[in-house]
Amino acid sequence: MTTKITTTAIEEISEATEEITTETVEVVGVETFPPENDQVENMVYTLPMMGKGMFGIFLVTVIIVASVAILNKVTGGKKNG
Amino acid sequence: MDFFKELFSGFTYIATGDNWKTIVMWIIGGVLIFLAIKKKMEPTLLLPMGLGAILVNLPLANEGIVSPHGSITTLFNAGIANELFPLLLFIGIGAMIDFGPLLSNPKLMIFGAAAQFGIFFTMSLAALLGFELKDAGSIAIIGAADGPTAIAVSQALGSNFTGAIMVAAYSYMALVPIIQPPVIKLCTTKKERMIRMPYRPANVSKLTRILFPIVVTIIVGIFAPKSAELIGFLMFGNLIRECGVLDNLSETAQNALANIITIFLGISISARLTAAEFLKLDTLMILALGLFAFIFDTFGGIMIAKVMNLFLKEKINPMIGASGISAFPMSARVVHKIGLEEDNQNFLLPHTIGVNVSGQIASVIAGGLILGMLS
Repeated sequence: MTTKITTTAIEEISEATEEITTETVEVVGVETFPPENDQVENMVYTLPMMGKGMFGIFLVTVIIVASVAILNKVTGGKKNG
Repeated sequence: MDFFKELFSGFTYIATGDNWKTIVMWIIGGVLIFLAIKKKMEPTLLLPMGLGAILVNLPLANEGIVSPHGSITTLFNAGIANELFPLLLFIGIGAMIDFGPLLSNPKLMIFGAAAQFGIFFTMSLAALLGFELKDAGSIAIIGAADGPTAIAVSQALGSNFTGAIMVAAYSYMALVPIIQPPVIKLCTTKKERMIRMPYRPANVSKLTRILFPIVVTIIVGIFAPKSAELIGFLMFGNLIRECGVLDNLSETAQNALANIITIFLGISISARLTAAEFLKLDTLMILALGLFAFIFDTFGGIMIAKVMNLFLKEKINPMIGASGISAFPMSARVVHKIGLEEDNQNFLLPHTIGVNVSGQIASVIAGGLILGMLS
């Protein structure tokens, strides 16, 4: 008796899940970012990353340079010549 | 009969379908071994990778050494798939690096940052050529000229081309003396190459040397969190070196640890050198893109120096920007040598070494930023 009920419950849940999944796909759609099949668009998508990446590296570098300058000053390092 | 069938199963395997490609991989493995031994090109990595390429392409290796429970697969899962080996190797590398020349003139870090331009440029180029973004980012990191960073990034991004990326990364690191000089001469004039740079180092206190790895770890961890692991292990190694109370550990990190991990890393990366994964047109494109990355790294470092010279009274020799790639110490020596060829009294090495070690830090930051943007 218990097994029958459980199997029926599982089937009902599976059907319900399938309905939900189908609806979700329809709502969200299948478009992906960046577009998969357009290589030029992919490249254009990466150009801002180039800018952000170089900016990020320079920003972190400048902060490290400033920190080292402060460290040198505070810990008594002196310039020669 | 079963005995003879088993005895000749290897030949039967090679003669079946596309399996003749395994012989091509044996040849490639042999070439890597030749380059390692005869040409002394990065032998610590190319030799294990070369023999590994042969091992994983022996008949029925997919049922043995590279099966899900095979020895090389186990090693790969133990240290490459989880990025552990590159991190452990970074402890050794950090312990080997003397940041003194950089600390005495920290502005040299700007060149190390600029010399990562090739990474991001190559990422765009790879995307244009049709690679998925995660693969484009992984290919681009070849330009970091840093094996552990390349492994860590390509694994974290789940790239399909880890094997080709590693072969490209380590091969080009060894080819820096061939790749860089023509690019340097193309981007600079003779007059620029002859600029002398007096060396006036600041005294760097021991406290600065000890605090530097800690400060860098915190700064990079805040601004590029995905780099935290890599920079943390690198700086951990450096702190062991500089603290002055762990000489034994420093020596172990520089020698035993680095050598052991290098052996495991080299042989386990060959899990990605099977014929099915390596022998694709994409591999040739990756090799070409890796070369572009190195070229544009060199270009980026030189260009920032030339731009700075527009505003400086005391000019910088723009060649030192080229040593901002992370191939330490080869790139520093290459630039110094070119300087001496132009003017045998022009000693650029103290500056190039400082720029070169800054490239190590900058390449790790670049790797973390790529991970942050793509994962």
